[in-house]
Amino acid sequence: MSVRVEIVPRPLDAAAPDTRADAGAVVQFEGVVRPIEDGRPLLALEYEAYRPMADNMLRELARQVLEEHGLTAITVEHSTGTVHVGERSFRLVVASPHRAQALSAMASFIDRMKQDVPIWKRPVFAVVEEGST
Amino acid sequence: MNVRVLLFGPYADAAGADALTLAFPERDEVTAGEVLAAIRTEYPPMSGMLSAAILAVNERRARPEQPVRESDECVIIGLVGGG
Repeated sequence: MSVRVEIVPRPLDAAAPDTRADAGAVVQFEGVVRPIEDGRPLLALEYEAYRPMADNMLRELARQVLEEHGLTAITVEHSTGTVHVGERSFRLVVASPHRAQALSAMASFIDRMKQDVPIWKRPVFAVVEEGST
Repeated sequence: MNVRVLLFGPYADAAGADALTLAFPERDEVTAGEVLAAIRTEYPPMSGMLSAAILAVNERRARPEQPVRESDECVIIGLVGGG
């Protein structure tokens, strides 16, 4: 069983790490900064993490989800700093013997991360000049 | 004693600062609940966002009754939103 957690001070690379780990199912989720937030054009999101608490909580959550869902591997990557529209800020890859375990683990991890782990994001909106639309 | 509380995200925006220092005269120890209550009183712009807040003390979530000392590192968590 494999647990890998990394917080990096930049957008994530496009290439995901290899997380097959003797699995019958590998599910990958990527969080990408969308161009519109609350109806307003967005330039970027700025992420802050309280470290090392955020690292430790992500690692503990990954271990819990791995055990609860019978995963064979889980990889978590999260950005801090500025992540522009279209760039990746979060990646979760889980591997399990069967698909149902991997799919349920995905939702469980993300819901709990958003509730508990001390990572914050601020929107950076594009300035729309009056009369330009 | 003084307690310094680090702020991130919406808490820092509301306070206009990345840390607060709270004074508790003639006390050697307070509780996490007292720290949050003092922030509500002394920083009214933050009071509305503290209902979901938890104090982390030395990088662990603190229950309201947990003691806090001057040398402890305190951070308000809650209203997080990674991903």
